[in-house]
Amino acid sequence: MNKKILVIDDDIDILDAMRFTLESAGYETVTSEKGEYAENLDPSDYPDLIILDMLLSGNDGRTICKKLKDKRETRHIPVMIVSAHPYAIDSIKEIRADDFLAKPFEVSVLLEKIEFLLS
Amino acid sequence: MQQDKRKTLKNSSLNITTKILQESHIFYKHLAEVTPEAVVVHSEGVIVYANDATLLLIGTKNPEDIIGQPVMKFVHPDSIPLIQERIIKMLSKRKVAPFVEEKFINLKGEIIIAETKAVPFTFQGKPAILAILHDITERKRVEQELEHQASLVATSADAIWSRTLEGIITSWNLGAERMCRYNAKEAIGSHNDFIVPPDKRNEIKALTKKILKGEIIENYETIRVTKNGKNINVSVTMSPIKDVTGTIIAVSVIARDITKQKQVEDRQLFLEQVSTILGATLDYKTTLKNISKLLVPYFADFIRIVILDENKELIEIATHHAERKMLPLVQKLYSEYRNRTDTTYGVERVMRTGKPEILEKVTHKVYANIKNMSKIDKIIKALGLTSYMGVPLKIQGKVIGVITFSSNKKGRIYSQEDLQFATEIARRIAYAIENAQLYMDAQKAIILRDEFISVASHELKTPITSLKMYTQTLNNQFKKTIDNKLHVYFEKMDQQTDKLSRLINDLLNVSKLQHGKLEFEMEKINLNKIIRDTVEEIAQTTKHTIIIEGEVEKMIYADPYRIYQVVTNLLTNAIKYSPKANKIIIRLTQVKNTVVVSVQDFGIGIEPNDQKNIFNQFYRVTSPEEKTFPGLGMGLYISKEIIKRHGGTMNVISEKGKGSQFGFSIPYLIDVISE
Repeated sequence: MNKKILVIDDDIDILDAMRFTLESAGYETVTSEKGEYAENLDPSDYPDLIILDMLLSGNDGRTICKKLKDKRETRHIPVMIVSAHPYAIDSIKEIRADDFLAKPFEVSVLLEKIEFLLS
Repeated sequence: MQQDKRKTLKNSSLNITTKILQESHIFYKHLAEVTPEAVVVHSEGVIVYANDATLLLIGTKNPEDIIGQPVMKFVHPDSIPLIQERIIKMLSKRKVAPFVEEKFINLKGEIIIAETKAVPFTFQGKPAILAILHDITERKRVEQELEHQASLVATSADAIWSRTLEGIITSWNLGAERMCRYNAKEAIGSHNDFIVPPDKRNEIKALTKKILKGEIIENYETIRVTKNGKNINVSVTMSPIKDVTGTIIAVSVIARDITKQKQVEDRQLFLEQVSTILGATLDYKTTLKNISKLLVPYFADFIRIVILDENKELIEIATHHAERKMLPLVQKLYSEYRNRTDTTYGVERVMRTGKPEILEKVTHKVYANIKNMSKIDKIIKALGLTSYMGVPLKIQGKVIGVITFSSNKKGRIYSQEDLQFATEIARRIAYAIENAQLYMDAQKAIILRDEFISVASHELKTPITSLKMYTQTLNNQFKKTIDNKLHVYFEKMDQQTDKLSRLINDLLNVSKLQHGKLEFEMEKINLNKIIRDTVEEIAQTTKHTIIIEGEVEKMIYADPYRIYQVVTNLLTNAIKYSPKANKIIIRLTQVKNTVVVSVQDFGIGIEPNDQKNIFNQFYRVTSPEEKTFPGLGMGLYISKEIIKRHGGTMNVISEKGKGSQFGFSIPYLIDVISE
């Protein structure tokens, strides 16, 4: 069974590119422009990994990450933060994200990190 | 015989008489010769005798210059009628002519003044006149000089007076009357304390002591007080007056009123102070408060500065009164005057007209016809307002505010000169406000620009991110499925995307650097590994061989990512500017207490002139043959700023056509031993 990755980003073009890239790499990919999507996940259908844009319009990626990590049911799902802000990495520990990737990134690096987080 | 005897006797008696006469003649002639007075005899208009004193007077040693000459030749034209009249009188009435002053001319043409007495006389049987001339030329000259000096003193614009050592005024000229407003009658005989302010009286005593030692006090600046109670700045020169025995008996004083000159100097200094305060900070609201404190009480007893704010409303910037307790009253007056259109003077009017206004003497008439007159009258009287000025603050011809100056002292009546001074102050203040506003506008523009760059670069990164994902994923797929060279072009696309991404980063960095907003994550690091990693990464993108020479032991305190940025910049530059070379050397050394990294290429090199500017923002070497090297001119500027933030320096050594060596040095940590 292919692993399932949820990508949340407010830029629909990023979501399209992510879907293309991740599906090409053999992952089942779910995308959403809304941060709330991550908060109302179906417990029977949790993703194996969440890739979360840090500065979402509306609900801040950091808040979503914290909420996911606060909830017992979702705590185990690895969260990778992506951001165009190079020093967004500073708040990774605070929000208890599992990894960080600065935009723009190398696909090879993205895939390496995903593989590591899923293993 | 008898007859003979008688004849002989007669002869001898005649001889004796003749002899006596002859002796007497010689005696008198000698007497005439030796007398110090000039003695002249003239007959029928011609000089027949002149003694040595006459020769001396006329200026010759030769009697022939005088004897036989017409007498009138030596008479000054002024005296000719008088002398002619005297001659006629003497000859007709045979009377002695009394002493009179007459003018003569000597052989040099100089005027001689002499007191002349003349007597009628018979010379060789003809009527003659004997004249005695007493030379008074020198005495006359001295008299005239004294007269001249006296009139000079009397009419001098400088005040001149004399006083006894005890201080009693003994003379007092017109200048002194004008300066001190006391006339000679009032001054002479009084003690000079009446013109000396009480606190300067000891000073006079000290100065008198010096004068007693024979000293002259020159241009001593002090203060005197006039009859109408006004203090004036004076420059005095005092000298001793001595009697015939040389004893100092009195003091002469020459005084000049330098109040105006002092005021000009003083005001110049004041304006300089104003400018200093204005230049100290761009926060003009604080500045104007300080200025108002400077103006009170120097130039006004109370002052108000108002300016238009962004909404074109007049706002109070500073209101100041010499006496704090009076401030509410001042504010009350201002609020009464606010938004009125019926006033003939005041802030509202200056705002309307844009012209300075002055009210030398504030009288009831000025505000008699306005609303609430009695209320205003009460306040003005309570404040004791006596004189007023209002000047506009203008920026490029537009009125942006007003300063009002008010006086509550009888001694301070504003004049046109004061209005000019006030206008000058206002001009400087307006200029400072304009500067501050321009600066704030520029700051706003910079903030806007930086915000724009920040947003734009973030926005640009998003499409780059998806572009990279597509390119790289497609490349991966083509590599797997189709065996052709398409993937080479995908890689080129990817590299171009990376380049775009770097440019965006540079733009963002420049804007952040200018405000010190570029973040640094400092830690203890060793440069060897960073250099190796960076070289490894760059080497993959070029045909150049990059050689690392040397190692450093010492640790530095630095941001590894920023150092990586600098080294990358230096290496990519070295590659870019040495297209025909195949080697680049990067050296690591320790010099003094710094670690030094230098990157040497064997490329086109840089002109000395360009070397000076190469680290400047947006500077690009422009020469026809170098058109092939694109860039925004940000890389070296960013590198230099990054190294500066590490407490280090950057430098360049280059020779046109031979290559360049760029390097940086950063102080190492002394107390930490190497890894």
